[in-house]
Amino acid sequence: MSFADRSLLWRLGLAPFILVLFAVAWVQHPAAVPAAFLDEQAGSPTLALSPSSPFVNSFASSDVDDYVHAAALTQLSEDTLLSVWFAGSREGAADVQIRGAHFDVSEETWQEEFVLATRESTQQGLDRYVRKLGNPVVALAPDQRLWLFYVSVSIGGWGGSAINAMHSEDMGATWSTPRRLVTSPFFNISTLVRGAPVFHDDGSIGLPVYHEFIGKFAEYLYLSADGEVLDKYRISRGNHSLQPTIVPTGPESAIAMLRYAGTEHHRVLASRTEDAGRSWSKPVPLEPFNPNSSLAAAMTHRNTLLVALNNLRDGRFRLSLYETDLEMENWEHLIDLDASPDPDGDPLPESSFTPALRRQFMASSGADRDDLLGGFLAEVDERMCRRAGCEFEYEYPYLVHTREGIFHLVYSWNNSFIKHVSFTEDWLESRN
Amino acid sequence: MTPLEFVFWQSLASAALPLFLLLPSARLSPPLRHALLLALLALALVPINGLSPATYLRSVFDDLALTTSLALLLGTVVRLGWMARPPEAQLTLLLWLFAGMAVVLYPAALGLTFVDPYRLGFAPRLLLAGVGLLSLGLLWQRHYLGCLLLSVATLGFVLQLKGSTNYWDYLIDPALATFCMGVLLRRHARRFIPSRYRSA
Repeated sequence: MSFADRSLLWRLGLAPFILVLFAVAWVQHPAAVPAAFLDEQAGSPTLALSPSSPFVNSFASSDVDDYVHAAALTQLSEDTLLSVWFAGSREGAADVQIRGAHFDVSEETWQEEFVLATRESTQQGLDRYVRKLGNPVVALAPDQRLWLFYVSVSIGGWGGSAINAMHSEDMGATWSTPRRLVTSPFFNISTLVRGAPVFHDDGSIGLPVYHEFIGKFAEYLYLSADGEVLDKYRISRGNHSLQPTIVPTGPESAIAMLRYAGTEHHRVLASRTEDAGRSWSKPVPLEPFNPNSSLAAAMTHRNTLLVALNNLRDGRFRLSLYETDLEMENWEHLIDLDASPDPDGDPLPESSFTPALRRQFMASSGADRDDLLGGFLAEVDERMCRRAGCEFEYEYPYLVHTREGIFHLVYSWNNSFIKHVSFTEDWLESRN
Repeated sequence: MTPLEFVFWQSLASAALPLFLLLPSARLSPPLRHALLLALLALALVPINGLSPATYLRSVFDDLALTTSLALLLGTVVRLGWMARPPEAQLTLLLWLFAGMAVVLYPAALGLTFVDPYRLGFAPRLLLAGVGLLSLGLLWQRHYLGCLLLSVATLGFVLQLKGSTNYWDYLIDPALATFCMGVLLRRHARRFIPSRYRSA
């Protein structure tokens, strides 16, 4: 047999193996088509808890020494909420931890905070060096698995972020080892979480994510009920939008509101999907301003959207609650949740800042956290005051509407506490 | 081999083999070359602050594509004298192939447009059809190296050896893309640089 004949036979012998290999890969990997959005308000609550007042606030966090930021919240049962946030000596420090605390709805009290993840535990779980931790989000899936997604960075700034996933089968008593989600072809860097996850009818998870490596843009990461990345869909492009907050408005439709990071109009952006997240309309600016800050939205019982945001051109010195129709054309101001005494948010001298801060603390802390005032005021200088004066900051809201008809909002209160505000549908009705 | 065991061996190889190939080990005698490789593999496992250099590199560069790992392994085998260097024309074709993949994948993945080619790796049937045909074409052209690289990457995808569920991550990574584009640029830059600026 000649060399040419042997070569031909060799190739003809190998070809079927290659065909089988690619055929197996083909059969294994059909395209994932997102199911309809889960209607999280469906069904009647079995327990109707009535808050002592239609509008209640308190601090979820209890540590006065640390910088706290980026809170998220989920309902574990009719009587229990879980809030998570990151806390450490400063944003981006190696000692930042992911912490959490439970809220007893009937007692209206926050329990002591606890640690969910640290740089060291994440490093050990991932078998990778971890430099710092960042934004967490938490959500209870329809199959009663509790999911925690949080950001970690191995090298560089937030542009070097990746998302880690942990889940709990027992409502947070024990957690799985953290697992890295692979979402980007660039060494898997530059994907972050901030907005609340949404669920689909089949239990699959929609995770709003954003990138800030070279471009700043938003995406909808589509995960299986087991947390495997199935697909991702682009919500925006370019380098001027991030931190999508997504609100399903129907079985196949949802609205994404985006933080604006550009230099042109400084307004909130919005995009829509009509096919359960597979495609999104080009984001358009809305009426409210956005000073490059995070915002949160939730559907109300009367088919409108409730939006918590800093409606400011610059700064985060006032956090407000608005209601808008699903066309997002008419915006009604409901309440300023927190605001600097200075209407323009200008820095205050310490002599007038400290009394104002003391008043705001007492109005916000709730009875269980009152005794933290002394320790908190001792830390104020470093965290909130610069040479030009002292500034108030209220930012990074996260909003949840429970089946019991109560809205729960958590946000960063001067980066010193995670503030929790809850209000009923009746309170909302009374506003207009 | 479980995915966890694979990650260990891949991270070890990803740390030691590039260094072995970058060092002028070809000038060493064969026994010394083997000794150098063993020393580098051992060095990649020495813990510094509780983590090995292999783990630190994996933290920065993530898990390399299977094509990159296999190319590093084959380069090492050639350097050790266990295998002949593949023909230059075959290597050049591979440089163009992976540079082409990089041009298709990376710029759009930066978010410049609403089109995201990285998505083709999550719903990979179109990509599998293309790479499958390419593999058969390379086999028919007796380009066994190219066929082997693409087939092993696909086998790794079938077995889900990496943490990724995206087919692209088994085919290419930024390190391989940078290497291929760098070599091609260096080769072809001479055409565009006036002769008076070229080094003698």
